Amino acid sequence: MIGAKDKSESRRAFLRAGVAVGGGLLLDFSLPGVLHARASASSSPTTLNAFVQISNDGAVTIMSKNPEIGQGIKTMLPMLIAEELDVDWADVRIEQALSEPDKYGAQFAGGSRATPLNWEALRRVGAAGRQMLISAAAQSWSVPVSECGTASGKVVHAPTKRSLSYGRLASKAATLPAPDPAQVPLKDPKNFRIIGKSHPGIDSPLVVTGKPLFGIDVTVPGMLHAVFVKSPVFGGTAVKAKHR
Amino acid sequence: MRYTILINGKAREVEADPQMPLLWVLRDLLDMKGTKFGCGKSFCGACTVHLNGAPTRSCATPISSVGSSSITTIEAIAGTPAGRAVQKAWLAVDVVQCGYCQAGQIMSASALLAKNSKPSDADIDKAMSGNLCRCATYTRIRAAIKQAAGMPSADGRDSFA
Repeated sequence: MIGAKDKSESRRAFLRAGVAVGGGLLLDFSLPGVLHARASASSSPTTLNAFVQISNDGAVTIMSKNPEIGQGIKTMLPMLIAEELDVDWADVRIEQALSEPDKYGAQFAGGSRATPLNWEALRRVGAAGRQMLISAAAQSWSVPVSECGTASGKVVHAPTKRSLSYGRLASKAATLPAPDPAQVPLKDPKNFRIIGKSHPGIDSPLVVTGKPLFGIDVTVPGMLHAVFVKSPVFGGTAVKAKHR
Repeated sequence: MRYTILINGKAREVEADPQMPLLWVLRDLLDMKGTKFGCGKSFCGACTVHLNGAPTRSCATPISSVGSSSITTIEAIAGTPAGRAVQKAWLAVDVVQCGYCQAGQIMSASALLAKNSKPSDADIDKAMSGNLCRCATYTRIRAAIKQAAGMPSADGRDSFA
């Protein structure tokens, strides 16, 4: 159950648009649902802590902040953005955020809350990006925004059968102001193409081929190894430890 | 001690204590991270590799016992027909949840299919019983093994619908 308290500020998406490194559109936004565990200034909703990037080649990169522990959230949360952005799932790349609680607030898995908490906010992030790309195309063609639609990573002008890919539009869209996510139209769920379909886990190809993926697979320079030793008797405590 | 061992078709030289488990030779000395440490006591199967085609728990296999055996790991299992079929089926059935045990599962499943191309349910249970999955992907594992064997099976995804 989601209480009424969750429905207010914590669910709003805050958004800022800019030019991505290497060109293209970068949308920074705040992930909602971080206010419960950390009520400090660092997790205020104006801390923008996630991003969507559309490169000039049309690749869409979405950052996922939540820990993936097999529940599929690294695949699921980006689906919400990709759906409303109206891109093909095959064109989406997902980047895992590091563990930085000062920046991201609570990064936890548990309670089956990530999808309900992010459901509307992340859809609105995608929808806002879509609006910006439509505006960029409408300006390029000198036609009203209302005559433009989108399909599979393209803005389409039906009356003249013209289309422009998001990749081509990304740098222009990056110069436009970000719309208020609360005001952008969302898809009718009956038109969903990504949400509600089965998508294999984004990391499964790495898993089945044995590529490094887990914490234990990480090596850093000068890394030391530690092991814990259990007391052989119940209730035993450590008297001393030798370390070097 | 200096050992020359045959891994994924290549001779590799390592300097290791004779008691060092093959798992740590692979992971720490040869930087092959696909084979996973689970329990260290041969209980869970996460560390399964093939020794001359037989599924073997690398965590309980001292380097000194490997000798001239041919070792195959998850990194090279795509080089065998059974391994390739298993990987493909694993993706098609979307077996993986957290994924930590899956290298071991895939190694056990591909050893089974290399020996027994049409395993029965009992054969599958027997071959896979030493591989634990904390996410409990067992239903899909069985469906994927059957798919890899070209046998009809209910898609594991629908089992709990």
